[in-house]
Amino acid sequence: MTDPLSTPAPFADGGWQSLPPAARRVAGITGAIAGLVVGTLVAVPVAVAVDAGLALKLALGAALWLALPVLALVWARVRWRRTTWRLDERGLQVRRGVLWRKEVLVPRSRVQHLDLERGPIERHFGLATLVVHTAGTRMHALRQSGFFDADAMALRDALLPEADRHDDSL
Amino acid sequence: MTTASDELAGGAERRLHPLSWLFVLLLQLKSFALPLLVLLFTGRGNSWELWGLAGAGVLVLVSLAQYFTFRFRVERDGLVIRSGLLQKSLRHIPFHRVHNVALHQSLLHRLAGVAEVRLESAGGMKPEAEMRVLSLADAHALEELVRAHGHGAAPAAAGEAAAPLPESRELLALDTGEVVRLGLISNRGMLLVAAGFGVLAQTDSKLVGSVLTGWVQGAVGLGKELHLGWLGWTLGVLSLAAFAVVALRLLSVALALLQFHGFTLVETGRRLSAQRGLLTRLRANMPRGRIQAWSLREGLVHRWFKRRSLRVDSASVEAANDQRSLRDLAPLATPETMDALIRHLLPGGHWPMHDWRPLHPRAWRRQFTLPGLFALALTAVLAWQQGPWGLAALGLLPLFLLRARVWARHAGYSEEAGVIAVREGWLDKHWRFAEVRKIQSLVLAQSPFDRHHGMATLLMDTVGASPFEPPLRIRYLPEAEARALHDRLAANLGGAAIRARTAA
Repeated sequence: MTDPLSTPAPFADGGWQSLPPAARRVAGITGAIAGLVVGTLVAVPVAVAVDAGLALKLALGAALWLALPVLALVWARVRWRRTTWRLDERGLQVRRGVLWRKEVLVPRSRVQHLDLERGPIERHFGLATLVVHTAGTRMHALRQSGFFDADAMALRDALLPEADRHDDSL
Repeated sequence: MTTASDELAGGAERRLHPLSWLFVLLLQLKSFALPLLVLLFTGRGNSWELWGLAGAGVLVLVSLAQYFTFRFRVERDGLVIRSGLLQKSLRHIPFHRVHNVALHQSLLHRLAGVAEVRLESAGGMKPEAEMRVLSLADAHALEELVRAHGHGAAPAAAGEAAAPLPESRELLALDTGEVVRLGLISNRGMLLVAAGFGVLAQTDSKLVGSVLTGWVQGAVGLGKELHLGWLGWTLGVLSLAAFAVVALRLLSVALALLQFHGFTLVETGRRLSAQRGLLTRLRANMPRGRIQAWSLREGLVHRWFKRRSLRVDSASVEAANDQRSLRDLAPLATPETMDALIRHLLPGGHWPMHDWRPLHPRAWRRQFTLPGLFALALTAVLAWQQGPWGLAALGLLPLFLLRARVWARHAGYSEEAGVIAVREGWLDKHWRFAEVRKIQSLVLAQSPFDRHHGMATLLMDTVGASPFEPPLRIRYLPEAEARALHDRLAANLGGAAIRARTAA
């Protein structure tokens, strides 16, 4: 692995960065899968319970069954578009949320430890999820999926707490 | 005391108090008491008693094994604990990591002259070490050792651990009158009754129901027998309600006396320790700098008595729902005493804040909308069900409006001398504050309603924040102000870590 301090990371300028387009695909796929599961759970009982002819039953079931994954897919894409992040001298900042918007800042000096996670779909697209742990209570971990693998590793290395840090905040 | 801590720091391995197996056994019996009793009482005539006895025998063996395998050794900078019979564990606890030394003495412990000792460090869900039980002298010696190490430079050798300690200063003491007042103010009795009902309802729901309906039927029958008019009925109901209130408050006072009798808060160097309890004595210790966030409260009844309560968050997570921690730093004091205490303990010594800044001018509307809609919905439902009488629910609207106005007038935030403070509430006022350098992360959030009004919420996350306290957040800030404050706080948080990074 390269030394992150000697080779400046591509995000060293500290501006807001979007997630890679692959992340949109991954978010869409996972959203659609979740929507499909929920859609099945909703559509089948509704179609069975509704008092109508077979054709209408099937149509209603199919409509519900398809509507939820499509909705989830659209939502995931909007969410992807609204998610941006930046790393500057203060720390890692992530902006996200469609209706309820949030801007989370984890200062460098407050990072406790970091995790990198890669699910099967993410792995296929060369992405990773970064989890930044703090000692806090409500926001004890900042979890953001959809980073390029290399970006996530560079972020991790840039945020790693120094060994000799004195934790006077605790 | 010095000789005791010398002896403890001698470096030899030690065991717990010889009676400790008895207390471990009692604790285990407590958790097994219900199944054992069920076995003893339901299995009449069978061999179930024998099984119960066998179970108790096994427990005795387990307790004895725990006693014989638990050893601890005091080293220069920490405590080493060896325990376990089959799965052995060796644990090293550096003294400077210990945030709290909690001593716990039930009545039985006091009779035997022993105490339960717990060492807590930051963030753990479990205490670092639980020593059940140590002789009182050993417990105090251990407390002294931790205190000596927490106090700046570690002594050069174990023998010098007993360097002259800074003298103790009493910061707050509650006499019996104060504790009675505390009982009247806090509604601990209510919690107990609610918990009691919960347990009863879980074990046998029919019992609660039948007892309650029995009482109600009895009371109604009595009323009918006496041929009460509406005045009589009203008086009867009112006196019953008054009786319930008085009984609950008496229960609260009794509980407060049990828990807070003889409360003293003492400062020794940089360490705070609080002692309390009538039958069960508790003592908790914490370095002053480990306080993460503060919450000061003044409810309606507080105001009648001209008192306030102060609680603090410490870094150990478990402390939040545990009696032994130092959460109740000052259960009750007059506002002046409280301000002086906070000024003394808060680094920077700046309290009360002078420059309280208001929230967004339309903040009251945000507080009014939801209750207002609720009142309208309630009116609609009642009017539909009861006819025109239901319109009386509209009377709630002015009340909610008054609430929102008072709330908005009191609400505000302040950032001075490295401390960020938020105040909210109308009848029940509270102040929540923390040092800026204790903030772990910053969140700027905007709901769709916030965006409509051009507002934002700033949430400051701290360590060990109790779920029972209001969060450290400023709601309904004008967006630009929220961003400015966010950036100002963020600049103060980066600290030393930045320089090291940019230098590389």
